[in-house]
Amino acid sequence: MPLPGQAGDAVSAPEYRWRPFRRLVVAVTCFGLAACGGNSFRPEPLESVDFQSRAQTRSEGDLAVRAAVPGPDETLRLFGVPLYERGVQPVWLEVENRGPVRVRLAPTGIDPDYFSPVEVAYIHRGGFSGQARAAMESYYHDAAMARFIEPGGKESGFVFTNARLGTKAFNVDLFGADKHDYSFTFFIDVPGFIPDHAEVDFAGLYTEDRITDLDEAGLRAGLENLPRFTTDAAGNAPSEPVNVIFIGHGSDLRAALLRSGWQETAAKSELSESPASESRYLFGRRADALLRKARGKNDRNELAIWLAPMRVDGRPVWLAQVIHRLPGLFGILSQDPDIDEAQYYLLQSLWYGQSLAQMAWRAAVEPVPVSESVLGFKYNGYFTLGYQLVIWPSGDPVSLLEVVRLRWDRVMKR
Amino acid sequence: MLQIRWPLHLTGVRVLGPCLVLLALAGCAGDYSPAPVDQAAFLERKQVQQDGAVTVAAAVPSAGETRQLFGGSLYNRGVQPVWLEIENRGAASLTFLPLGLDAVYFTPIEAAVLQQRDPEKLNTKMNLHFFESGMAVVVYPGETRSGFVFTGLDEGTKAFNVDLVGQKDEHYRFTFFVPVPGLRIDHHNVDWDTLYAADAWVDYSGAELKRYLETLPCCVSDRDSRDPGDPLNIVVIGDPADVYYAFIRAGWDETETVYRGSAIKTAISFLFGGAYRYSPVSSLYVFGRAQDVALQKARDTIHERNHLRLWLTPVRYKGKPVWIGQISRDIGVRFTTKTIVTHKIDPDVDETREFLLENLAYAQSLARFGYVAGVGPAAIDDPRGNLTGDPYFTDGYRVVLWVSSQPVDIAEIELIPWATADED
Repeated sequence: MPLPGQAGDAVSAPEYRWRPFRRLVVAVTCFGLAACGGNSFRPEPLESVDFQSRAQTRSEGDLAVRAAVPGPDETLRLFGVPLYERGVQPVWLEVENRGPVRVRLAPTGIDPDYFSPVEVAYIHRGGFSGQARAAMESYYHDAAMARFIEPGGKESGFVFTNARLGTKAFNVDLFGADKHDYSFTFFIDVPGFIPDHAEVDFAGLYTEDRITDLDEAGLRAGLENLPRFTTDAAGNAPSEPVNVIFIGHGSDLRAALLRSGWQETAAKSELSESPASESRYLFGRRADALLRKARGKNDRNELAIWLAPMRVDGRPVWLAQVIHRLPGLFGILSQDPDIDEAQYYLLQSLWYGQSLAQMAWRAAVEPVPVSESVLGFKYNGYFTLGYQLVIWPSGDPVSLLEVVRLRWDRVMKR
Repeated sequence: MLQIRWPLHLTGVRVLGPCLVLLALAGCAGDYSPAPVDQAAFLERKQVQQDGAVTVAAAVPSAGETRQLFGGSLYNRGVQPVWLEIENRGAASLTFLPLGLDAVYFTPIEAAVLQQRDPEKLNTKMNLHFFESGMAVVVYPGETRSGFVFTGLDEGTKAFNVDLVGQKDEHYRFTFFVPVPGLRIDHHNVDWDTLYAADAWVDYSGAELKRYLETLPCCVSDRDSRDPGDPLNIVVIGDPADVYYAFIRAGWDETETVYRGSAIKTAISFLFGGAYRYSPVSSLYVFGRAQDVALQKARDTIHERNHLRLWLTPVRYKGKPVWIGQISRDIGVRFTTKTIVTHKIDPDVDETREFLLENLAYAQSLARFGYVAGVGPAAIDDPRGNLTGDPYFTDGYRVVLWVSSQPVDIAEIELIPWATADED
């Protein structure tokens, strides 16, 4: 099963990558330093950086795992160089083995493209003296998490992963000789990152008397009363169909999307204040949450989510719009007019992400055939079969085969 | 606020070729007339698999065939169409999940737009052709649907799954390994049958095999067999087909032989840090001959990838050939007096060895494993050097990997208690 951080999602966090100008500055600085014999390597001791207080613990059977992720500033102090700027994010782990057999921790399970410790030192060797480089190599090697945890033993250390924007979602897979394998899933907040939805006062969005309460039987009829198109800021000129509905608690929805490789957006970031989100309104406001998932090198899917004034058996209803953005001329992102494809991608990502409990298709808007759409991108045209995808996300993993597919409307061919 | 990023393909020399092609196309006034798929020659290479009431056929057009089918140079843009035909003779509709075929697949219109640089003058005829060539995602009972999925480019061998979901609890997975014409792969030149004389082969029991593996040379050497080089720290047991399927499934790429075309591709990739995933590798020697197979696993650039080399030994274990090999992780480039430039390898070679074990296990390519001595330990503060003077340290063990062409569940992998690898 694809897990968070696996193929396709690795292309991430351009914010963390070096910007060309900074690279130049650093190169010049390094040159200057090299001329003076190079920098010395001075990491701060592990105990002096207080990131372990945020550690989360999971345990099962004889095994207990603690995990924490230092933010960019903490990482700089811990490792003496800004690892995040080169796309490296250390994940701290502590594994306690109270069982009778030796246990193997596979870093591949956390990130199949993880960096080896000496590699991280080598990438950052620029500007350091020969002596400092050697010190770095052995420091990083010693700081790395052990691969084997002996019976009755406890090991801790870092796995060097590819940096991802926002909440860090990963599995810690442990293998024993008894053929019983353990997988612990973590969602860890990284300091310096506040997701957009954390700044939304969900309880204050609607007064209780505005909220419609439904049961499962009344759901299909109830959905008829919700808006089918997003609007502009003034509330008119329907722009594009609301092509997804989620039914579930916010915490389950968030866990489902993170496990499926979707990344949150920082509050007041470039993306949350982009013209695209500026022009997409529902219930008179911009999206409560924006998420994205990188596909190739330059394109991505974007998912905008709004809490609706409706509950089904106590669970909130969310309206959402998913689109696929392509690189156009000079890298300006334009929208793929095939919006049904983006919708299908979302469905598949949740399906493979083991995050889909139940689903249904619902005929919602008039179809726009491909022949009537603008196949170019100047006008942000789109075509669609006109269905909404209704998803009941699962906070806990669900097998690919256990997904319940309700027979609402039959999707016509595409 | 516009997000302006300089497109990747406009960096370096890669821009030149496509520009010339575009100029040439523009000169022809761009009448778009792709060749019909039903007469295309690549379908003669199609592979067919059946499971119950479902039949799936798959074929992959080469770069040239793709140009005829779609009119652009999709391969140059990193796009590879995969043709599928799904026949559903069952009672329930089948849902096809392209994400299982390629996690970063392209939408048809995305693939079309990548061919056209000016969004003001998009060729809508081309867009429509790509869209209509796309594979359907639902196949109803009694239907046969065919079309293309636009995937990321894999030369050499295209390995992929076709996942189909039927009714509840009904799931089909078809795994394809499709050779793609166009590369000159090193192991295609090896004649496995004549590498050793028929009477040179020996079959060993488990204990004999362990002893034999411990007496093999510690390290590779150069052509003149004088200096010891990188440690021979992996042993693979399996037929050539097992090795091929196991490593391809785990995401390893084949390696081209050295010829003018590969040399140019390597040079461009070296200078501009691109990803020529099939780049020829230098020859290292065991049994007096260069490696029989070289495989590589690319990461971001040519400077960061894993390399492994395998040599067939004249030994079989339970009928399966035994291979000795070497694996290293490139972590950058450095200058040497011997070869001018070389890849800097991670000195922690045991880390790389364990990476391979876990990589194969997660890819369901590993059936059993164990460890034997033979490399000889080298401590981190007293490392040994390879042929280009790179230091390495190791616990001195070789990992023995029984690979499988058929998927093996990670929980079913068997550990042979010969010796145990330890972190130093």
